[in-house]
Amino acid sequence: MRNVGLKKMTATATGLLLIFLFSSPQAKNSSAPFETLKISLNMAMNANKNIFHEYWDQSPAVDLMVEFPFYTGLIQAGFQVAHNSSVKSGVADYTSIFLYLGWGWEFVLPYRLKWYNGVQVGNYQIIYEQEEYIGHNLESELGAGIYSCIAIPVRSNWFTNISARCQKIYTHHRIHHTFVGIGIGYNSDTPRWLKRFLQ
Amino acid sequence: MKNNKLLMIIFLILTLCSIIRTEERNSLNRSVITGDELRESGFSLLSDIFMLASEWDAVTIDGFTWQAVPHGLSYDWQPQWTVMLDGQSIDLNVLGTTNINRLPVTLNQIDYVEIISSPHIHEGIFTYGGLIHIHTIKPNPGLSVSYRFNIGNETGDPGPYKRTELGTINIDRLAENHSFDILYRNGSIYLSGSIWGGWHFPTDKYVRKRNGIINNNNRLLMTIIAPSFKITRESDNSMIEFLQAASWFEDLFFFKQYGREIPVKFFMAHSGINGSFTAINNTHIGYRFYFTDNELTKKENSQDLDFGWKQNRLTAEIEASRSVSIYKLKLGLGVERFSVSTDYELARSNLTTGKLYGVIYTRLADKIYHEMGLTIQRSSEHTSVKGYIGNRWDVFSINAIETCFSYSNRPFVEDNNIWYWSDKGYNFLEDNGIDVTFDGSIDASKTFAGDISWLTDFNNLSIQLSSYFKYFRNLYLEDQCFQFNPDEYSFYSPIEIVTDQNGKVGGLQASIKHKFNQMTSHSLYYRFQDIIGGDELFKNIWRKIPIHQARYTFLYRPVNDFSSKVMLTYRGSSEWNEYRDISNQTGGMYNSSLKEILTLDLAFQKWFWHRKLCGNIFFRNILNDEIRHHPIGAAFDLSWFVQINMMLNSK
Repeated sequence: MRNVGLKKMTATATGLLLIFLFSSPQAKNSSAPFETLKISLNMAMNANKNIFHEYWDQSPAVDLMVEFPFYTGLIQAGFQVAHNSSVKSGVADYTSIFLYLGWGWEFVLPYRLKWYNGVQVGNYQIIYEQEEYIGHNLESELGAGIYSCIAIPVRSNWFTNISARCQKIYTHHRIHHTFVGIGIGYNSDTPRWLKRFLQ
Repeated sequence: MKNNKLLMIIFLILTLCSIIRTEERNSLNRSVITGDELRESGFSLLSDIFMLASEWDAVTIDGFTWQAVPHGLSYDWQPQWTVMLDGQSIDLNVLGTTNINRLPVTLNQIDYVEIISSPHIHEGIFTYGGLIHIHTIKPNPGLSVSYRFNIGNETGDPGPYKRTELGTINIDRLAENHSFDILYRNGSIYLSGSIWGGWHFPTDKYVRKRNGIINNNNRLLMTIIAPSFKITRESDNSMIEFLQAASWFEDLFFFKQYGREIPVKFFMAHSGINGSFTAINNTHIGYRFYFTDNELTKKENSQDLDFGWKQNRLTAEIEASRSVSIYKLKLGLGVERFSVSTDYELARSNLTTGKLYGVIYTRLADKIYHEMGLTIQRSSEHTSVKGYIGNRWDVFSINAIETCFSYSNRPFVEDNNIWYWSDKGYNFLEDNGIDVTFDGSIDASKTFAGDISWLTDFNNLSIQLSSYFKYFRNLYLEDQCFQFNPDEYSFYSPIEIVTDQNGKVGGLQASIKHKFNQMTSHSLYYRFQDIIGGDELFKNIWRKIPIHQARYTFLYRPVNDFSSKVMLTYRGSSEWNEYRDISNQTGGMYNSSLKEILTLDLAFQKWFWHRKLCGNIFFRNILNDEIRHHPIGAAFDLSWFVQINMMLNSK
């Protein structure tokens, strides 16, 4: 048993411990599940460089997300769209759409700032644009990452966002992206029909 | 035979002595998995039951067909486990392979699954090789319909690198399944109809390579479609149920004796009726009558392999049970006719077996319970006896000690496997180039098994510690040494059937379940099993079962409509001796040892729209260690499954 990657076991144990700590009674969320919603629109820039960038140059990504209070913490659903232009001949351009769900926790900071930290997991879709890829123009793969965001209140229900996301796409050669973003958002009560559906 | 008679006499004396006060207990080594548990765990196939059945071991080549055995048995020597659906035994065993996924039942239909791991008499069947009994739900009043869809994906696709120098082969999705159920209840009459179908794709590069040529380079795909229909009528003192079910399955059938997968078509049809009524006060009569037809036929393949195998099993059983304040007794009588049809000329093509069985539940004193069962089976070739005695002693209010001892005598004819039918003239293996030799004649095997458990149950904590022992005598075992064929990436080995093999295995198990509160609970299971002694071939075959197994489960369910579940599973290493040469021959591509693995699975389930719609996400193997269940089986990476389930009811 000792040979089965002590590191992985430690990582697992740490993960489980974090889940346990986050779900402890002291960390209960103030709003009832799905009682309120937060919608935000972000523009995110790819901020890292690795082998991926020898093949593609990624345009700024657009990220649309909704967030609700959950039974513990907050839950998010959203998508991020980016265009990836090839920088090598013979390599296809593609548009990536990352459809994701996220879960995390928000800490209240001074000056009514809110700092969200969480994990995201979703489906990274690859849509080719060149004609020769028609017929095989859609691929998808699992993606996961961590997400951090500071919300700065602007006026009444409006706020602005500064966010960072580290993302890993589980293709054979993994794709690692780091994004930094800025955006705006709006807080609201969840419409009754939607709340009834979600609850 | 002398031993059998002695055992019968001892058994009868014990039975008569113990008729003092009686009460039926839950059978020993019986566990229950609810349908909700299965669905909540994110599972999409019936075979996923084995992920929750801690006392069973299971292996797979392709992720769809699983070979499974209860503790103490091994994959290559086993009386096949039995599959029951609502009180009817469904014959899924074809030439030694039972694929539970061929069963025409959808996940939404499952109320609960009973898993019996040690010898016992359950619905007239001596559960020597284990038994899995699926009970379906009773429909709600009015009309209900449900639809479930799931899709599974394995990671490791080339992604955008596909057409670059970093491109790798595409990993197909693992599976896609759809099921539809329609149920209706009006008073005491229940009707249910269901159909499920799926596509399953081998994603492993070596499995694909091995099967490409034999499959004429067609797309590798396993497809299944399985409808069923059931009607039940219940009243205060009677119940009758009619079940009609079928499945069509196109498979890459791994035929171990041939050393590789063979494209085939399976067909199964089952028709049955079972019921019970009260004859006189405290006396109930139960009856079961069913017929299962199985066909294993040719699917186009480059080697022109054709099993041409058709079998059908007709079973009729009647059972009387009487319970009064001092005892409960069950007595049953059954007849079974198994027929085979093939192009080969067989010395005999059918087997008729009669059986007589009895079970008595007694209580010697206030806190001491007994359960005893005996089956005598008679075919035209042999008579066999199987029996067990179980005891439970409740010590104070929270502790109990359970014991179960069994003896079974199993003649060759009851194995009803490839070797029995080879002996009768089914020469599929020989005709396709596999040399088979027997080193002697095959006599009845004998097994003695013993289980002892201690159970304790506090408010939020239950602990079970148990030990078991199995002593096998007179087994016949297959001795093979597979050689690699580089042209087709396949394997070949002559087979020697070695008779008169003996051996002993023993094990210890511990299970702890604890509830933190109403929202969170967790459980830990650990098993140690080892070979105590025996012949070398016996030891080689039992080394396929890992010595250590452990599983930790953590469940967080803050409300009924949401749950998350973490499963951490450890499986020790195992040694598959018949593949001992392949590591050198394949340059390390395959290995006869399966390394130990630690897997982490994570499942989330959320209900929406007042429990009419449910979404489920399941991540399997999050640590992303390559998981291989069989030396030449597929290696699975991190996979994920998404399910959508919609349930509508008219009332």
